[in-house]
Amino acid sequence: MNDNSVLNKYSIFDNVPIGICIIDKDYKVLFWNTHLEDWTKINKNDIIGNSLFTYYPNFNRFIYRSRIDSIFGGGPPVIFSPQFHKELFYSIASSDEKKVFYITINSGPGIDEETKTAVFSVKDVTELAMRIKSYKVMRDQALEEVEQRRVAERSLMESEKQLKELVATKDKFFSIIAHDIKNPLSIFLNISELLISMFDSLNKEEILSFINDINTSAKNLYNLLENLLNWSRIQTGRIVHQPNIFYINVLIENVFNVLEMSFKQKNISFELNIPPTEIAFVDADMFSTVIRNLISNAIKFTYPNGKIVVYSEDLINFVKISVKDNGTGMSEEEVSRLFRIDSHQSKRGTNEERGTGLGLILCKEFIEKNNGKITVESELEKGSNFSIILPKNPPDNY
Amino acid sequence: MNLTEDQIDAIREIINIGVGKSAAILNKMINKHIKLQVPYVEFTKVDKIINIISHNSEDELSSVNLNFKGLLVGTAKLIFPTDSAAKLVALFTDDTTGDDDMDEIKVATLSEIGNIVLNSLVGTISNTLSLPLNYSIPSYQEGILSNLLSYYASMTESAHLLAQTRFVIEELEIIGDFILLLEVESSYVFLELVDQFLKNQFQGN
Repeated sequence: MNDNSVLNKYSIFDNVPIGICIIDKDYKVLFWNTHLEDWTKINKNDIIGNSLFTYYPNFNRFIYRSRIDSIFGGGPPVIFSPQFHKELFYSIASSDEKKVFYITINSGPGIDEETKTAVFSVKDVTELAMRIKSYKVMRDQALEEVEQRRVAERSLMESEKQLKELVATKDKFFSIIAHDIKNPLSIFLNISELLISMFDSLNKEEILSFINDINTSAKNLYNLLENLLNWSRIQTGRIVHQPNIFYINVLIENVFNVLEMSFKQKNISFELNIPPTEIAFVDADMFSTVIRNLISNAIKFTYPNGKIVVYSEDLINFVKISVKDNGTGMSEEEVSRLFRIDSHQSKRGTNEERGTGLGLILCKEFIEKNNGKITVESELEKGSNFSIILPKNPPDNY
Repeated sequence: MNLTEDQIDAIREIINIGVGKSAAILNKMINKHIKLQVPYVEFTKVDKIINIISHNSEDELSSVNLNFKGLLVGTAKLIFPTDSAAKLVALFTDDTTGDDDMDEIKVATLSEIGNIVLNSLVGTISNTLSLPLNYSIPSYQEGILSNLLSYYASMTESAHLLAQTRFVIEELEIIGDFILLLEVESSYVFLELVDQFLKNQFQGN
């Protein structure tokens, strides 16, 4: 066996850009190229002619022996990849950085026809592995940034939606002012001009009738402005919600007193059917405003000689107060548009009374602020029933 | 080429021995229990193989290949859908990041897993049928099925061996397809060798 001839045979592989190690079937090292020398710091003269196990006892384990041994019998090539086999050809100089290798082992020609050698081709993939890791970090960071932007975009869209609603609200506000204030004011203008120009030719009754018209318009305008102011105060958060426990009856009777004239004008009867002990936890002013709005509407849409009933239902922790009339009622479509800011409601009452529908929107906001709910049932030509549900007691954390 | 029951049984037995060997090695390599099963074996034409491999024909597939020459000329392939391949690698390396892509390091790992299985199967076939072969360096390929098998698709007379391999690791099942693609002459040679093997068995050789 001439070691020199073996060295000469393989010396062509001394400087190829991968590590090359050749062993015989007894795992004796026949060739160890320069690259492998550099990585492992094992001098070729120290390892050639000796067993591979001297420096790398690992290779004697079952998982390596069983696969490499078959190569000497002419078996197929074997792969050892970095993730499973870290540090297979580790450097004996511990100060060296750790490398990871991709190793392919092939069968090679041996000394004679019969014997085979095993040729290790060792590729350094340390740089590759590190670069892949850092690319993954960059990619994950980029993905996170994309996600953050998506979240920001979503909240931007949400803000835009809210802004659009605010704009719609403001537009409605202005259109109400423009449209509905003009009406009573133009009545003032017309009638006062009439009074001035025709004063001498009018009798007492005629003059009184004109003054009544002015008075009615003034009341409508006053109600409208009051509703508008309240509504704008709610929008800007300037109404302070001060709830307390009240006897419902007392609050409703006060409202009735204010509206008594309107009842009489249309000869509508009023029935209050609430036990005197019935209570609710609510802001008194808001409640009164709501009841006044509901009863005003009921009067407006009830025919002369009709009837309005206000009654209550005990729902244990809540109380349900209903304002029921037997007037014109509403279609399903009209009901669905009742509480919406963007649909301009203005239905004339049974005596041609006018309004804006703003009152109901205000009612909904007031009731919801008091942790309550407002609902409506209605049938055309049968009448409507507006109900509000309110808590009886303050919440536990009040 | 229709196979007799005996021939199918012989081939299945050889495959199972090979699969058993690779399971033994794989189990020693990682600290999870891996089971390898071969539910069925087919010896048939390429277009039928394409139909049987039940992956969507537009799926991206990963293949580890081992070409051989000698008495038989052909190639052995272990084929996975690429995202299954990534999952298999993740299971083998305890990687919990949930990445579905195959980067070069993962390709290297899959190549080794494929190498262990292919070597055991082809090695067992070669040893059992007394059939020495010369091998090329194993390689990795990605693509759709028709591309991976295109070279052999043109050989309409050839028949090839298909054995579906189930990798079961911790209740997760990943299916890879082992195919032995043979050139026309080699298909006949293969069957002759199987017959020879059967004859030897009967004669108690």
